Parts: sequence; C-alpha cells; structure tokens
Amino acid sequence: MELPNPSLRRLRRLRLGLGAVVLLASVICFVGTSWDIQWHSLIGRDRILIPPHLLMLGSVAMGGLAAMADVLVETFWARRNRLVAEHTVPFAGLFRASLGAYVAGFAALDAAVAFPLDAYWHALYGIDVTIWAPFHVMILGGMAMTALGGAYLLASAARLAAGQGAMAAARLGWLGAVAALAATFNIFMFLVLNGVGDEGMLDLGVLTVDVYPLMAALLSAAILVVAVQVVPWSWTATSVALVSLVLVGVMALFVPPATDALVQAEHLQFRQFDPGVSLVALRWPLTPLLAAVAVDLVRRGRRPVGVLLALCCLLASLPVILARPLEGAAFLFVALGAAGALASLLLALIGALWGAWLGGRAGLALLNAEVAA
Amino acid sequence: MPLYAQRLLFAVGLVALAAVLIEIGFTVAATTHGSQPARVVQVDAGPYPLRVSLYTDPARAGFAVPFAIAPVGQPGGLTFAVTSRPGPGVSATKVNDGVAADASVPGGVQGAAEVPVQGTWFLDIAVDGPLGRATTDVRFEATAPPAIPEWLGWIIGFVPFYGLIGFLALQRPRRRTAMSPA
Repeated sequence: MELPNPSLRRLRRLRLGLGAVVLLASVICFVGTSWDIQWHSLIGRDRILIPPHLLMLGSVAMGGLAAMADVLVETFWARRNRLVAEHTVPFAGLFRASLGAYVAGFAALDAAVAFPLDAYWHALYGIDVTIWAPFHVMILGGMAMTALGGAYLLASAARLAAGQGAMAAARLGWLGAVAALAATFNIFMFLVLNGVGDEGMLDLGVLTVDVYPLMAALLSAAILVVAVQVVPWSWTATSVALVSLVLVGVMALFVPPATDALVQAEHLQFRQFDPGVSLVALRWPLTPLLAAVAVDLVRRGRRPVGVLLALCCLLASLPVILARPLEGAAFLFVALGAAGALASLLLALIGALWGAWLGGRAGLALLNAEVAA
Repeated sequence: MPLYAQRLLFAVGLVALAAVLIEIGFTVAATTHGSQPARVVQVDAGPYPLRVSLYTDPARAGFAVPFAIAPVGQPGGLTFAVTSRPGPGVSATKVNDGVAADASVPGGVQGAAEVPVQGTWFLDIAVDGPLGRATTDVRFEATAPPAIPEWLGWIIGFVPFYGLIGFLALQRPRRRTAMSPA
C-alpha cells in the first residue's frame, strides 16, 4: 500500500468525478436511445433534433467533454508533478492521462461523427431504417465504448484509492465501474435486441440460423469477463447484471410518460397503437442475469476459468424476453428446426468464447495501463 | 501501441473533431435566412393571397429549409400554422414547423421547415384570419448527396469495432496474476 499523498488523492478524486460524469452521460444515453426507439416506432423520425436525439447528443457531448477535460488536466498536471506522471498513460508523445479518458474521448467522438452520417443515411433511405444500419451501429458502438471508458476511469480511481487505503473511495469507484459496465452492456444490447425474431434469421440456403444467440453470448461474455477481471468483488458479474436491470427499470419508468407528454406538447399523432409501456423494456432479455450468477458461482470455485466462464455465458444465448418469454425459444427451437437450432447454439458457443477472450483482453488493458503507470 | 500509430490516431481524431464542428456550423447555418430567397411562390389560401419565400431550392434533405410567408395586401391579423408533409412514396411523417413573426414584413412570419428525407415535400400552410380559416400548400423538392455503396457504409459503420478489437488484440499479459480473472 502506498503512503497517502495529496497529489494522488486529488488525482483519484479527479478520475472519480469525471468518471461519474461519463457514467451519467452513458445512463442518459441509454435512456435517450430507448426513448428514440419508442419515438421512431410510435411517432416516426419527424425531424432531426427531436428530444430523444437531443438527449443522446447531449450525453455524447457530456461524455466527450469529461474525457477531454481529464486528458487536458492530467497532461498539464503530469508536466509539473512526477508522481502524477507515473500514474498516467502517455499518448502520441503529447498527452498523459488515464486510459479510460482516451477510450471515452475517442468513442464519444466516433458517436458524434456518426450522427450526421446517420442523418445522411435517413435522407437517402427514409425514416424507417432498421437498427442494424451502418451508422446506427457506429453511433451505438461509440456510445457503448464511451461507457467502457467511464468504467476504466472509475476502476482506475478505485485502484488508486485502494492503493492508498481509502477504502470508502475505492468502494465508490468499484460501484461506479460496475454501473458503467452495466451501461456498456445495455447500450450494446440495442444492437443485439434486433436479433430477436425475424430480423435475426440468416438464411444460409441449406439451413437458417438465428444470430441472436451468437450476439447475446458474445456481448454477455465480453462484459461479464471484463467485469470480474477489473472489479475485485465476489458477486461482480451478478452486480453488473442487476444494475443493468435497474437501468432498464429507470428507463421503463421514464420513456412512456415522456413520449406521451411530448406528443401532447408538440401536437403530434401516434402512427400506431401506443401500448403505454417501453417497447425496449418489453423485449429486454432476462437470461444474462442467469449467466452472470453462473459466472460468479464458477469463480467461487477458484479454478482456472476462462473457458468455464464462456460456457456459463452460453446461458445468455437463450432468447427469453420479458414480454413473451417463449417467443424467442419458439423461434430458436421450433421455427429453425433441429439443424438450425444446433447451428445457432454452436454459433453461440463461438460467440461466448470470443467474448470471453475480448473481455479478458479488455481487463488486461486496464491492468497493463496501471502496471505501466 | 507504437508512437507513430498513436500520432496517426491523434491526427484522425483531430480531423474527426473538425468534421463535427463544420457539420454543426452547417446545421446552424441551414436554419438562418439568407438575404435573397432562392424561390418565391404566390399562392392563395382561400381569401388570403400569400407570398411564400424558400431560401434553399431544391432543399437539402437532412437540413432545415428556411422560409418566410408574407400576406399580400393584408396588413396583419393573420395567424399561421405550417407543416412539412412528405409527398407520395417518401418514407417520412409530417413535421410541425414552428413560425415566428418576421420583423421585416408586417404581418409576415418566418420559420424553418424540417425535411429529413429526400423526395417531394409540401409546405402545408393553415391561415386563420378575419375571413375565416383556409389552407394551401407549396410543393418543393429535397435532394440528398449521392448515395455511397451500402458496403462502404458498413465499412465506415464498423469503425468503433475495428478500433476496439485492434486495441484489445494489442494487449499482452505483463504479469502472471493478470492472466486470470480476479
């Protein structure tokens, strides 16, 4: 344990504070995107700067500016303070900052660039473009990685605090990292959700496969493995899955009344029946929670766990959604037939193994940065 | 990551940031009225003759179209509600466009029509005045830049994933304890 040092204390507070801003931005982004999906589905993309888009753009700006602030402050600080410099990561021979700030900054910039490109795509192809469109993928990928950068920032602050014996600050940092990883999971999940049902079916000629199990297992394994690698808690994976569901609950409480209020305020009309509930929440998958519990239980056995964790994450590939729990299973096991279902589950296994590898490397990135620092 | 790769990434970031700022500038500029309208149309909304000025023609899809409406031979007392309506075959919904008083034209209003998709659009104008309520519309075209091939769109769209996977692939364990999850 290092001796408490005022500079390092201020450094961890800076990272904790700016990491919290990135986390808040990521949560706003998740809620804004859910609202956007509700708006697109029920009202239509009537103009570019609709309130959900403003919420999303605001969150991108917020996350990006927080990341940029961290890079600039730490860079100037590190030039004058050798101890601070030793706890930062150099970049391009010009900057010194936390790894998370670089990740969040570049990711937010990516999402900002993708917005006008998405407007161009809509200008060409109309308002009803599927979520699986190039620049939707670019926006959501960027925003999810901004949240990942926030998780790195908060975990870095927690490691600094733990090293100085400031356990309350460390717990706060780990909790923030768990929440940021949950936000990362949730934002990436927008891309996976589209796979439930017809859009996820891929006709290969001799058989049809469902890509949802592949994507769900890949995402779950990546996030749960990075979580257990970065956060030193017994029930880290379960915590991430539970916080993810809490965020879904917050979103489900906000989106329907916000949509109704704006429809009235702007004298708009619903173009289809308003169910009065969040459409995203209805389609939210529940099995990642099972996978998370399995991951934590396996870790308690203290065995070498890379492949075992991936196998646990296969549970997440079962498409059990909140609204109609059996709908996804019906697609997977009935509509596809035995060959299609088996091929889909094999793809899920590949996804889980690849996801576990990605998660392991993502955890390693932070550990490497901290070691190098 | 090698220093040259970091510097290349930094340069790409600067270009991307400049592109975002230019785009914001274009978007703001698109809502401002130029000194001369690109097209002026005389229409009658029932008993009310109107002069409708469009400040971009054809409109650029994805950007707002500034417009102004001036009553002809009517000093005032009219209120306007304006809607952008997509023409047949245009995948879009109606948009309510806000209007504000035009300080340079007595009784006139100005606003910016939202046109998110290319194709034929109509500016639906509803007028309320002493002679009752009446409506009219002005047809205009919205164009978009040429379409890039879909495969190129996907290549660009996956940029964050190339970045993430490349970054993670570069990671190598530096100590044994980092190999296994905590």
